[in-house]
Amino acid sequence: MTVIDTPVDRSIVHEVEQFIFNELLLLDEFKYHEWLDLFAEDGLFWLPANLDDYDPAKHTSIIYNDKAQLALRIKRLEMGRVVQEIRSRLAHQVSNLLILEDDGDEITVRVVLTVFEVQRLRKSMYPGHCIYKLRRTDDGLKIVLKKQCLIDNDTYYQHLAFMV
Amino acid sequence: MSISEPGLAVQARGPLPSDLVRPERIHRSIYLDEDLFKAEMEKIFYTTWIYVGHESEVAKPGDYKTAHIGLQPVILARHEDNEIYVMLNRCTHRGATVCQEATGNSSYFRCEYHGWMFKNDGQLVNPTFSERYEDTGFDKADYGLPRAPRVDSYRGMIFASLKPEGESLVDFLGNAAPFIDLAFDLAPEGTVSVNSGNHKYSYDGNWKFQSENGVDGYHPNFTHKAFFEATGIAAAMNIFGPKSEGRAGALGNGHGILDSRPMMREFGKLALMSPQGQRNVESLAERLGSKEKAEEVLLSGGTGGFNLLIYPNILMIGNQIRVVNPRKVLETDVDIYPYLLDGATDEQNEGRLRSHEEFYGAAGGGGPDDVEMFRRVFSGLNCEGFPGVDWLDLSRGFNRSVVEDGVEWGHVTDEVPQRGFYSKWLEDMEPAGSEGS
Repeated sequence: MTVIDTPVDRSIVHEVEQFIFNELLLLDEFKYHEWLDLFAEDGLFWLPANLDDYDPAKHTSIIYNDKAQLALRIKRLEMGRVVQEIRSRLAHQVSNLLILEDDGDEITVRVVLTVFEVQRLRKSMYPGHCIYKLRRTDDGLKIVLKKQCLIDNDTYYQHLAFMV
Repeated sequence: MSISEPGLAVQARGPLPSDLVRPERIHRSIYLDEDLFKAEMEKIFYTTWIYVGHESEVAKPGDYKTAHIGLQPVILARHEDNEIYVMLNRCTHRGATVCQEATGNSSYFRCEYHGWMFKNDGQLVNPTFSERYEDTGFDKADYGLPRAPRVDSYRGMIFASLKPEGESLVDFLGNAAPFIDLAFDLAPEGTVSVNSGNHKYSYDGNWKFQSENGVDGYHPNFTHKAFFEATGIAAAMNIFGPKSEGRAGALGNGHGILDSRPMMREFGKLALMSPQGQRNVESLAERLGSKEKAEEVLLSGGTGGFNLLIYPNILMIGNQIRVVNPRKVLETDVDIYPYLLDGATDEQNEGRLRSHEEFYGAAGGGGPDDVEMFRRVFSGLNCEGFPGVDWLDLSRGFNRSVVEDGVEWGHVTDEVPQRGFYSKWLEDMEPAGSEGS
């Protein structure tokens, strides 16, 4: 991975930061439809399994969802399915923001992201890093790719049935 | 653990398996008793055929994979002679595991504790600093990694048995084997590849929760209601509904089946009538010998048309081979391996992975709901001292099943597979002629 070697405009960092803080706040507050609106029509949410990088056509993923599949996921969550009958409470904490690339149309960003989850009396945390590809549109930034690589993606989970 | 049913004076000697299994119910200590768990390891997992991996996972000489037979760590490795050896992952010197990775390629395994090196067929090369073993009676031939005495494979699925003698793998699989054929015959080349990663999840609870649940046709319309409704496949609810033509079967030897093919056939037939469907039938018929056989395979959609339980701990559901790993009496780890069809297009195989992920895995739309139910059963099993609460009921459709060609069939929602599972469990745990039988 290479980090952009020209100085990054503070205002871009600020814009990207605010966008991601807001995106994660929507998850913490279960505002899934507003969250989904942040995705571009061709947007993708990818939670790799076992490894951080591979060809998703050849290797399974924990989540590999386009926007339509994310909408289905949200529908299930809103139905209060068995595993989320008692809803998980979440806190997404983000830091170490690096702008990896900015070609004018799309900005690629890497952050360290930890999700804290509490369901009933069970407390869990899911640390890792996240790559965002964000597209500049007339409607503001849109997520083309959110790829969240959990450092425990090759371990046994109880479940990740909330919106990680 | 005490058994509170009057007339069962078993506290002094601990529960006997035959005290715990009735034709239509089981005692809760089957899930909770640590001594029984130890006995299960010995009498089931260290006796019968246990799936350890697939040939495609160790395709080339030097390839290896680590797995478990019950609690015992094992390595399966393909040697230069192209044989697959299954051996204990335990240094014969002081007991450390010699292989740490899940998969890899190496001709040797070296114990990092004192440097002992083993070939990938298990033979000890030489103990390190070997001169101090001279004149001690040490013979390196005695110090190879112990091998599973029996290893055999069926359609690429490798099974090992730690018991030197017993029925052959194909006899053990029995009526389950034709369903494995149906699953893998869907591949244009007739073989599958298990190299697409896996999903892992664990739960507090006994391993048998998951084995039973994989062929439980009574639960989907409740536990997985949200999945069916959100996805808009209301028809799926008919498959496991009261009027379903689907069947649940006990295949013998503890294997079980949920056969929803009767309900899929109508959809499937439409698909086969399309030009692409016809081409699929023709190309498959070439390999399988007849159009009827090809249609049967395509209509069952691999394991899309059925859920298969291979006793004691393997499930073949959808596009996956699932391995249930007992860790402790109330601790279970599960690995789900989606597999790809050899000779299918990249698009087809990618589609298989994506549809697999929709339901399965830690973030899948269905699997986690089962795990949540296991958690609730785990909690409820603590109840005791009230009439009946020591027993779990498996009486649905009891005495209403029919036997065809050695398979006992009931309605898809009947607990036929579970009763078949526990009848074999009892047979293994308390063989005829042993104490108490």
